[in-house]
Amino acid sequence: MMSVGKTLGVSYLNGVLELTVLDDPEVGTTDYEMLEGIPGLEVTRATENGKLLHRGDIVGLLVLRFHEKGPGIIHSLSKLSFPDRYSVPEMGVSGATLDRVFQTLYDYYVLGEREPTTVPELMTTQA
Amino acid sequence: MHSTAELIVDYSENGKGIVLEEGYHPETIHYSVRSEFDGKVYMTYERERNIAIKRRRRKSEEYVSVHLDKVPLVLADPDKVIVDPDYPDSTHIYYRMFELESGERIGLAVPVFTKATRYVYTVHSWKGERVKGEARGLTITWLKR
Repeated sequence: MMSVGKTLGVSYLNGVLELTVLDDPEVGTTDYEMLEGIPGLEVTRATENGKLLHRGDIVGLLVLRFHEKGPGIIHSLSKLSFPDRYSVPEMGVSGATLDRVFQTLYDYYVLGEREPTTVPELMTTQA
Repeated sequence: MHSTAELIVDYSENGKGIVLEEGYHPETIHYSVRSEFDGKVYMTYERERNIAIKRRRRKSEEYVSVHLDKVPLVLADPDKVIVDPDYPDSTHIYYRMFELESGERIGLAVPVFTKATRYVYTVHSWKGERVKGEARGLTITWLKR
């Protein structure tokens, strides 16, 4: 499947969900910080020489207790107008808004009670 | 010769299965460390593997995967500890900077679940400046600063 938008690597383990934008692994990042208005969602932003790149593109997302915070995060994201689109190849998601990405992951990991996964195979295919 | 980190680690439950919270899939204990703030804190093999894979995805965070052996020191002797503003009833975040033999300084941030069985959620990079919530201007609840 061809990726549309930014490609996300997914890691999920018993509540901890982390998404990494894989398109530019060399980029620097800020520390994780809360995304304003969305409790439970932390993000890192792209930097170069310590300065924010492209007005602070998000390059990583972290939720420590996705099974509890997921519905609220999805609802909050659906009300915002993030312009970016994302693909998650291993989940069959392409060109989706961030709330759709989170909804797909919530349905799969939390509602579907799937086994925890971090997908090292994806790293190989992205290399 | 044991390093300081090894001396503060309890491996007596190494290899045992553990369900960290009700409804979670079982994980396997690697070690526990006694924290001044939270008592016995577990690290599992599954979490370490997961963290190592995640952090290798980005060059600026790759050092975390190389220095996971320092997590016991972060828990036992942190520079800073705060109550996580997203989870004030259940999560503390431990921070510590290390100076490597090369002179390079690296920082680790370790969120810990603090209700019932205490355990390390994950480990991520830290630049040694602000803690979570400071950039948003929140009032931080410090356990150590």
